[in-house]
Amino acid sequence: MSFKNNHKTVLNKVFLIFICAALISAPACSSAPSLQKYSAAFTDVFDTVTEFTAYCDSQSKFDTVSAELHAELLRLHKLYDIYNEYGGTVNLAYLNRVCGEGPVEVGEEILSLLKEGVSWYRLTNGRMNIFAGSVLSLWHECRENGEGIPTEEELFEASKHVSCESVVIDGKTVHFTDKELKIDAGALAKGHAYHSVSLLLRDLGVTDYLLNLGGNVTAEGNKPDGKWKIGVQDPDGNGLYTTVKASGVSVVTSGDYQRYYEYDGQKYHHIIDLDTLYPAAAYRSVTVICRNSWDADALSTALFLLSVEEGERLLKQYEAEALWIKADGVAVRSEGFSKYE
Amino acid sequence: MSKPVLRNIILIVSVLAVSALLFIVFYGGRSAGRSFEITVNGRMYGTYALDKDITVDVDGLCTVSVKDGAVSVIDSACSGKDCVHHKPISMSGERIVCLPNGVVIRVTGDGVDAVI
Repeated sequence: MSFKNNHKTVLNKVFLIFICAALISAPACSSAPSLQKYSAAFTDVFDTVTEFTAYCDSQSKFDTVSAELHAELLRLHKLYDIYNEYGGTVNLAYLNRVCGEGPVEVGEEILSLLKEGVSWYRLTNGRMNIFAGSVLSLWHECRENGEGIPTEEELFEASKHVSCESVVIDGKTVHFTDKELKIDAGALAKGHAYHSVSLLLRDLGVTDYLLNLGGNVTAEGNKPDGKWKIGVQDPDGNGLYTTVKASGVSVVTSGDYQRYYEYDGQKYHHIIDLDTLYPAAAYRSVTVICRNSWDADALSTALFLLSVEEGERLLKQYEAEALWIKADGVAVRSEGFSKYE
Repeated sequence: MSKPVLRNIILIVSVLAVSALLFIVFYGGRSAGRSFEITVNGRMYGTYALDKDITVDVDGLCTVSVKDGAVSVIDSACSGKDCVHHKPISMSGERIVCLPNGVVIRVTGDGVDAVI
């Protein structure tokens, strides 16, 4: 080989190195430059902040979609509201008031929510229980006031009225044989709401969007430059713990930092362990990734209340992945979680 | 070690080294978001830079201030004042919410689309 040829080969290689390196390091280039990113935030549904982000070709199209989405979210918020009744709507607050009196006919959406509640109750031996409103409301009241904790007697008394055996679902009717039983569907409602919303957005022709229902994110389609990026908070508030790349999945976090109050130097969060009747203490947060938004929502709460081993069995059943951040700060990942990071 | 193997190793190492260099050039120094957006009742109110100290009056609902690269709410017409008590935010994805006023302030950048 002559020197000249050799020199050329080296030059070629250097050139190749640069091409490869450029490809590896800068893959993020917009493939659809005509689409603009738009986002909207609603503060009046599900007692949290809802953020909607989508790529659209015009502000007016986004505004139309966003307004329809908001109207649907308000309808669902009212349907699953356990604190207020809205004249004429058979919602959860209404059922909590009258189901102890006798069978009440309910709509399809409530019916499926309640049936799912029953199956989660059975699957987790009552740990994940949407019929524990009597206990949860005691904690809710203290959280709203920002002070005090329920007494042991109050909690113990309330805990006698949380059995799903007292909920009789017959055809389209629901009856509580225990008059003190109350529904609190916080662990399932957002996942169910998302299901209705996703049908609406599909009908409106929106295929690439991100919806964040206060810690319950669903990512459909892609951004022009790839998958959606979801940051998982460090429970101690030091920025992000990790980021997850998502497309066609729901990513839901249950964390002790999401809803809590401080009293007497102690923090009390919103996920109650029905064995101790106090906020669950094993984890700071649990993040679940799953295709189905209903399952993702329910799994994140269920895993927060179960051991890692029990949780892993559920994850296999639902083909889901999880990241647990334990009380001592140690992180545990299910087998396939890191492929999303 | 035979020459071709050595050459391949050099090639691989070079690719990685140049990749790392380019990565730093393109993505380096982006750990903090450089702008933030304010929405009021779901509608975009405005987008502002984080690298200049400014004060924004959001429709008389609240006053937002940027200082040393972090944004905070310094005054609000709401009752709870949770937004005013919130620590200044600067990391991409972080946000301050005033539920009573329907105001959301969110740091953007870094390509993070949502924070949970």
